[in-house]
Amino acid sequence: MDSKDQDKDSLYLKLIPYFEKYGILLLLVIMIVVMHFLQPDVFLSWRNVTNVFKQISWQSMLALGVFMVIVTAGIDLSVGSIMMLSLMILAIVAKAGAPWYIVVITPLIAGFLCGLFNGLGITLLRMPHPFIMTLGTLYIFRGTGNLISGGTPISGFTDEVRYLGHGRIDLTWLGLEKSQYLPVSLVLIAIVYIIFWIFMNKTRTGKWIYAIGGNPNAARASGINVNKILVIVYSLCGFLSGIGALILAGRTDSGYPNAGLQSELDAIAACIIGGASFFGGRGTVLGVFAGVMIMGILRNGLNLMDVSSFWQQVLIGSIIVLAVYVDVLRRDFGTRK
Amino acid sequence: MSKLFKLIGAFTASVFLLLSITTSVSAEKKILFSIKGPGSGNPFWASVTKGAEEEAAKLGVKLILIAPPQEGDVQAQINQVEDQLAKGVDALALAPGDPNAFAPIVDDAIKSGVPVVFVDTKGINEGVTFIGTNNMNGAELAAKFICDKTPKGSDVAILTGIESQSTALLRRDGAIKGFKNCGLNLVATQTAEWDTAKGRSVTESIILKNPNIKAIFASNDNMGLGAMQALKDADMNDVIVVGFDATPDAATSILKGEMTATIAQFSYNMGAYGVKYALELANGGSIDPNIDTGTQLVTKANANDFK
Amino acid sequence: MSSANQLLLEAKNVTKYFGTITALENVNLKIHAGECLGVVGDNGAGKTTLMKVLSGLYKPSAGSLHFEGKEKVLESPRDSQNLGLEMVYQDLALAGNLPIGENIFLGREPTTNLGLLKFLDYKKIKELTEAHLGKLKINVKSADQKVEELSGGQRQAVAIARSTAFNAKVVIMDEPTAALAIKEVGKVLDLINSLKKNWRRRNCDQS
Repeated sequence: MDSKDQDKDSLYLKLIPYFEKYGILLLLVIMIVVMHFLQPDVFLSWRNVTNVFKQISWQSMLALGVFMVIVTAGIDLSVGSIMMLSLMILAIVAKAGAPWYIVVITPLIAGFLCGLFNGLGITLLRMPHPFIMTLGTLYIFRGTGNLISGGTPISGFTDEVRYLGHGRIDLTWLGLEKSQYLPVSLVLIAIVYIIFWIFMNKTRTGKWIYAIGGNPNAARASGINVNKILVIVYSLCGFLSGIGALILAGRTDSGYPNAGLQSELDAIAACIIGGASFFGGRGTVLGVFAGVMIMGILRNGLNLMDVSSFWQQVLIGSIIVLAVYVDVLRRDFGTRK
Repeated sequence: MSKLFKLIGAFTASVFLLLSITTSVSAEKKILFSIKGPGSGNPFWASVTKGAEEEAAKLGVKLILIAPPQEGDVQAQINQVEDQLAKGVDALALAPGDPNAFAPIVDDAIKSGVPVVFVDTKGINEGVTFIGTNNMNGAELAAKFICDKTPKGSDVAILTGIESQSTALLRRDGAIKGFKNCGLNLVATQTAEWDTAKGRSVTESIILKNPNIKAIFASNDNMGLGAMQALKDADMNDVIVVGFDATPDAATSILKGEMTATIAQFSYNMGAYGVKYALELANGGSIDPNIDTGTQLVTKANANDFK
Repeated sequence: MSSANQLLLEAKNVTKYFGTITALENVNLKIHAGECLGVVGDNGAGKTTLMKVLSGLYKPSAGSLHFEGKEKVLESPRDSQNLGLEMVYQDLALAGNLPIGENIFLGREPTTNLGLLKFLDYKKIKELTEAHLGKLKINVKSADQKVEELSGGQRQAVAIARSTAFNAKVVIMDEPTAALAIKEVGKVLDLINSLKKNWRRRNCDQS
């Protein structure tokens, strides 16, 4: 190897950390450019962009919750069911005529309690892996949701309840047209993601979540109460699923039995695409956001192209495999000394 | 060093490739037809698809027919419709997976100047035309068939679907009307919630209390097949069972001489009418609020067509 | 201040069972200030178990621990850390995905307060880490380097640095040179010697 090659190589090695941090954003930008090129009139139109954010709004909440769990080297398969159960409870409480501020807070509490149930089950029952506990609650929560609702949709909520999922922020005072509104769900995504970015990066609890994923024994030996942190993580995951339920209630105006079916898999996929590792300790909040966006844009773009939904399944599956392969390659480069 | 870049390159290329399955732009009217589930594997939606495609070809309109990956995936269906509306269409024919969930989208579409018709399932939006089976007429047709086959004053029963759903109520009321008109004696009206197993257990208790029963109308074929099992067990093979929907299972049963008849919906018509009337609205015309796609009696004579 | 030969840590009749296995039976141990005590034994003799009992990771089945003359019940490693007892584990107990500094301060991160909210003080972590590594003459590229990128000897050095960053009175090391190359063993022993000069007390477990 001559010296010129070596220079090139070291420059490349210097770039690796940036790839690790921002590679997924690069992929996102590429996708946006490709979609814009293919659908120049539509893709970046105000209406379509806000559509994408509306469509990913509830999934982004589930993905964020699952992400924290995955960082601890765990998994939560029950988020879709938690969302469905929270949605059904919301619908029943709303139909019972409760005031809107009670209705709005119900799914958040319900989601939190479901997550708490997962966390306590995993730690107190000493389940060999969170997979088992949350696989169980995937059925338990959805079954409970069907039991209390009789398996039929419950529809019709007030505007206050629907605000987060359906509300519009008027921008005419900026000189924009009436159709160029800002969906409240977009603002909500931004706020929640910023709060959790701070939580994961700037607080002790967030740091300990990463430490538990990196080496649970190290966390324990450092005097961290690992079980307590795990219970917090699963509870927060449930809470975020509850926010997802509230958004979905606004978006569909209906509590329906199929809500959130298989969306736990979408959430896991978004985390994996975004660079989280099943072995724990790895991944960023920004990465998860990119993962959710990539899946949302892919679905949106393929819909715009009139590509059948079967193709969408094939493509999203391929992207998961590809994203993880890129990750494997990256680590190969990283360990080269 | 280029492995990673190669990979990203390959990825970009494949996205381009897969996305280049694009369609050309033309001046034709664009009709968006959104159905609840994919046609593959479900003969009902397959025939809706066929009807829509053939009508679109006949009328020379551009048809965008979309379906979620599986029936009941309301979120995916909503996303698809929103995306297409953002892209711009001239009219929307919609079989809503959940009428309530779709209500805000339908309102938005109409506000933005895209006329909407409901196909197969009626939405809750006021003033939107419904194109589909008149379930009441269909059930009445079934009741009339039973009248012709049984002596006046015979005992008959109805199995209803989930009674919070309008389809279930319409089919029940149509059958009751038909039985009353020809003087049959309705001894039981019970729900079996569209389910085969429940159809069987409900029928078992009905025939225990009413051993002289001559006919049962089941509001869908699944319940009818369940009723058939109960009757077979009790050696009451003379009892007439008429179902609704004309599923392949029911057609097979009719050919074997078990179930007597079923009612077929013209799903082909739903597709064809959906395109036809959506186009009429797009061209500024006006249409009736309810358009019946018709029903048809299926017996041993024509059951082969529905297998 | 404690005098040079004050009794710091005493274990009385410590016994530990794992199910039907008896790992420790009536172990008595005294550690004085300034003393370097080695625990030697065969594989499976119970050295590591004893260390983990002393650090509060395991609870003894019977017997008691006394610190500076007072009986203490250790519920978790946090309790022993609060008493000034630090442990270097055989499996190092470092989180590979975190940088050196964050490993050293794991569980005891300095924070800045913003009203009721506490945020990690990354600047302080970095400064303290660099100062501490410098004092122990441990050479790494940067305090921000992730532990998984370090060699075995460097990791051992980080683990030792971690145990001495909080004015420990007693440092317990479980097999500090196991699984290290000969060259690196020398470096670690030098590090232990430099600790001794700084009047740290430790208890080495070396087979």
